[in-house]
Amino acid sequence: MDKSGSDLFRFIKMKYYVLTSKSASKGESGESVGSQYDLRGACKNCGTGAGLLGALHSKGLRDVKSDLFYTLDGDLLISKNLYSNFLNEGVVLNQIVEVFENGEVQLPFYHIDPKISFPKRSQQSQGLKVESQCPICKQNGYFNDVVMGDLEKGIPTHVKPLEFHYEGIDENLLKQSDIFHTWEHMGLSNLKAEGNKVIRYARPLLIVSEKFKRVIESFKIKKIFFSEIILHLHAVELG
Amino acid sequence: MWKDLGLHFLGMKEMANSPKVLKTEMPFLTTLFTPAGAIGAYSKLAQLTKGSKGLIQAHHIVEARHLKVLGLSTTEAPAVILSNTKHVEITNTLRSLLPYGGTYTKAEIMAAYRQAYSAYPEWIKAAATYLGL
Repeated sequence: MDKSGSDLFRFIKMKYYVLTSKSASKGESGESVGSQYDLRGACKNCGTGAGLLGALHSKGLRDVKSDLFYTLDGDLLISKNLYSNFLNEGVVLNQIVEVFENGEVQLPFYHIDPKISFPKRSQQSQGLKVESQCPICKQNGYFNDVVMGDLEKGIPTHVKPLEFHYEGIDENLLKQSDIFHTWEHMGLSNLKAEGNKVIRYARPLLIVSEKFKRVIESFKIKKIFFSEIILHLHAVELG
Repeated sequence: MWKDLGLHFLGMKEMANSPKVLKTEMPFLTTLFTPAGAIGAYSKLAQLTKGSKGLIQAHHIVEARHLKVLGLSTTEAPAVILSNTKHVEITNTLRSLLPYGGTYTKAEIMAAYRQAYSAYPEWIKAAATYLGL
């Protein structure tokens, strides 16, 4: 059998990227503004992995004009225009969710909530560090690795680039969507509000396909970055 | 009078030159800027800035983007009232130390704030206390 004709070979050739935005986050969303979450698949200790139920509720997004942006709570939103382009280009987003401002007014955005997760990164990955992680699930508590700047010397802080490696990704996973969650979740989670802590479920990063990236690039959205991930695929019998 | 109240410290010099605006739209200022009232919960200070048409703004001493990631309340967080100009200046300084798009640990946030707020030791103390450091 011609290897280049196999589905697996096609997915191996496709590139995948961690999507990041260096624009200021806009508005609020999620737990703090009335969104509901399903905790059945979440960590019983910290709540990481809670799944959004129904629409995403937001606050402070009525005047936003961007085609793609993150809220302060870490939810990715896209314009309906961008969504139409994704559809036209055959990009599979798996699950999109409507967005309601103050629980009432539907906004012209969708929240991308792919629900499908990559496995844990391999140990050789770089760009993240861990602090105050939940001892049970160990899926939250990830933070960017940085070299702190020096204001007096005029040296800005350097956020180390993300370099994610994965071992033995299942081709069936890659077939399901053009966007995925990472297994790792950024920041801290609180299952309960106590003291100055509020209920919060740490958010994963997003991994996107080459196809997804091309559509974003065609929109010329500023300050969006793609860090290519490295897939180490196990030897597989082809044909 | 404004200088005596420490308003120059908060970037209010330019506003002190507009007594008409202050008199008609911000009558609360004289009671707000007492030594004990300079730092307050964001929700309270944000209420006080309503009606100022953006000339003065409540500033989270620990920015909301970090509080969210750490699962801390943004409404009860310590804040100060700044002039719009000063708010922009401080936000830009903080952005160079903690660029947008990154997720930072409490220690990194404090390391940045110790630099950015070096002229405001009470802000540094309030930030550390709120972050539990």
